[in-house]
Amino acid sequence: MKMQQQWDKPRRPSPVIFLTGFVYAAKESVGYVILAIVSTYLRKGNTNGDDNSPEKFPWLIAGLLAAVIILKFQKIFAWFFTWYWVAGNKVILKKGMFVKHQVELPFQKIQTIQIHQTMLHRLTQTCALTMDTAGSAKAEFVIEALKIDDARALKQFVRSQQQESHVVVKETIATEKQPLLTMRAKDFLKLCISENHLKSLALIATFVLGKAYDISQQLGLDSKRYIEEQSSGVAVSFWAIGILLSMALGIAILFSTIRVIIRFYDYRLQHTSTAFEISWGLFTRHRKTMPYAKVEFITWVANWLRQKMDMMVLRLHSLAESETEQALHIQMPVTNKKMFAHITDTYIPLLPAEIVATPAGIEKAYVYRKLLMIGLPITLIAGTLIWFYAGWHAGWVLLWLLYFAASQYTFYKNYRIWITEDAIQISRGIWGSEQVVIYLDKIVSVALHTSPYQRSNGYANMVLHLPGKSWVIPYLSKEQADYWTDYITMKIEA
Amino acid sequence: MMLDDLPRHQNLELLQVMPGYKKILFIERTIFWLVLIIAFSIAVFYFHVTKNQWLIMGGYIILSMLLGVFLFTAGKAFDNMGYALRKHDLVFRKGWLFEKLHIIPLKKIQHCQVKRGPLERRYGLASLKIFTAGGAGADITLNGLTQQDAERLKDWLVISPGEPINSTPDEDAATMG
Repeated sequence: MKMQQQWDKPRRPSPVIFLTGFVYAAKESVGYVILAIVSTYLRKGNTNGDDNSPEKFPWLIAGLLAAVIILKFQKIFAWFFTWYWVAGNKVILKKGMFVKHQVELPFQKIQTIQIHQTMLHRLTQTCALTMDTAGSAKAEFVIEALKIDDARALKQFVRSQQQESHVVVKETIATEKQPLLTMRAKDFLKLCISENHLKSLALIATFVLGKAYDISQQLGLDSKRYIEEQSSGVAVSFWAIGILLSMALGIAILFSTIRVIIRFYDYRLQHTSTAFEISWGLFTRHRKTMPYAKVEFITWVANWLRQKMDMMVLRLHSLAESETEQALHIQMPVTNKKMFAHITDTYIPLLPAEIVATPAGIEKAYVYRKLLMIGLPITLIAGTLIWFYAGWHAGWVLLWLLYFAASQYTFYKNYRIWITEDAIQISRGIWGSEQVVIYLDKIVSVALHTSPYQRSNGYANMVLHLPGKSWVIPYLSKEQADYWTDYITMKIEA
Repeated sequence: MMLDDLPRHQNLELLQVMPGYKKILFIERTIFWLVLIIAFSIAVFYFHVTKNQWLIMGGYIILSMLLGVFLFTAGKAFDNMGYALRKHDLVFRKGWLFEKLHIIPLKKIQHCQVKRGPLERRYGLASLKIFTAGGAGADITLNGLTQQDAERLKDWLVISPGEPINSTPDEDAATMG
C-alpha cells in the first residue's frame, strides 16, 4: 500500500509536455507553412517581382504560428489541464480546458500499457504513456510527456496490482527476458531490397500531386496545362524514358530504405514465460508487451521477392483489435524459416499445415464468377469509354482482362485450408502469400453466406468472425461448408 | 461433445418471427419510397427540373416499380427469416436473394439489448440485439419478437444460457413464441 500512497495524489505530467504539444502543433501545420513559402515564391515569379510578398513573408509565418498556437492551445498548454492519479483499483486521467474529460480505467480492464519515446522524449528523459482496454478503437489513457521513471513505476504498479487481484493479464515483471530476434545489417539489406517499391512510388506520387494541386488552387494556376507545356518541350526518346524510370526507381528504393530504417531501427524482440516484449524505432522509440494469452490469431505475409528470400512479416493480433487501429498488433520482420518456427512455436507448437497432409481448396466456380461479375463488366465499361476517345486502342483493355483472369486463377490455385482438432490455417495470395492461423476456440461465431447462384450450384462462403476481424473463405462446396460450420461450432462450444 | 451430438444446422426447423414484423417491414419500405416519390414531385412541379411529360411519367413508373420490388423482396425476406435456439448456440437466418445463416455460440455472447421503435410499440413487438466480443460483423439483431419473448430471451442468453428457458424447450431446439 506504500506504492498506492505514492500515486493517490493527483499529479501533473512533465513540463516537457509544452514542447511535445508545440512539436505536435508544428507537425500538423508544417504542410501549410511549406505551401505558404512555395506559393509566396511562385507568386513573386508570376508577377515579375512587382508583388511585395517576400516582404510580407515574416508576417505570414508569424500569422501562421499565431493561428497554430490558438488552434492547438489545448494541446500546447496541456500541462495546466492534465492530472492523473490512482484511486482504489482505478487509474484516473483528467484532461481538458473547456470540456473536462475524465477517464477511469479499472486495473483489471487494462490490457496493454505502452511507453513510446520520440527523439525529444529521449533528450528530456521523458516518454508518452498509453493504456488500452479491450473493445476501444483508441487508447483511452494517453499522457504525451511523463518522466520515464514515473512511467515505468506506474506501469509496474498497475501490473503488480493486476497480479495481486489475479487478473488474467499476468505480464512479466520480474521474469527473465530471453532475446528472440534482433535486426542485423544483412537483415536490413534484405528488408530494404524486398520492400514494396511500387507502393513507395505511389506514396511519393500522391504526395507530390496533392501538393501540386494545393499550390495550383492557391495561386489559381492551371497545373495540368503547366505540366503539359513542360512535357511537350522535352524530347521523348527511349533513353529519356529509361533515365526517368531509373530515377523513379532510385527514389522509390531510397524512400523504402528510409521507411525500413525508421520502422525497424534497433528492433528487439524478447520473450518471457508469459509475454513478448518488443522495442523498435529510430525517431520514435516504441515498446510493446503482448501477453501470449492475448494473442487472438497470427498472420504472416510475404511478397513475391520475400518468398524467394525466405522472408516474411509476422503479425500477432491481440484481442479486440479493430480494422483501422494498429495499437494492439505487433509485427516482426522474420528473415529466416528457423526463426519463424521459433517464434510461432510460442503460439502454436505445430502448424495445421504440418499436421494435415492434404489441404482443402476453394471451388473453380470462384474464378468464373469473378470474371463474370467483376472482370467482364469493368472491361466492357472501360472499353466502351476508351473507344470514344481512342478508337481501336480500346482493345488494350483486353490485356487487363487477361491479367485479371490469370490473377483470379492463381488465387484459386493458391487457396489452401487446413483444419485440425484445435486450429485452422488459411493460405492465400496471388503473387505473394498471406497465411493465417486461428485457434478454433478464439472464433466468436460462424456464418454461411449464399447468393442465388451459389444456392443453385451447391456453393457457400464461410465467414469466421473473430473479435475485430472476419475471415471469409469463398466458394466452398456447400457440403464442405456445412460440415466445417458444424465442426467449428462444436469445437467452440466444447 | 462429439460432432454427432450436435444437430446439423441444415436440418433445423427455424422459428418464424411474429407476423406483425412483416407489416413493419412493409410500412418502413413504403415510407422510404413515398419520401422519394414526394421529393421527385417537388423537383418536377416546384423546381421544374424538367417539363418533358415522358420523363416525368417514366420517373413515376420507375419509382413505383422499385417500391413494388422492395415490398416483394421484404415479403420474401420475412418468409425466409427465422431463428432457433439450440442447447449451446443461437442460429439466425436472414435475407432472400443473399441469404446469411449465422451461428453464435452462447458462451461467446457478451450482452444483449432490447430495442422498441415507434412501429414496434404499435404492433407490440421488440428487437433483441446480441453483442459478441469485439463486434466486427458478428453482432446480430433478432427482429419481430414479442416484448415478453425478447426480455425472456435476453435474460436467458445473458444470465443462464444452457438452462431450460422458462418452460422446458426441447434439448436441442428450443421453441419460443
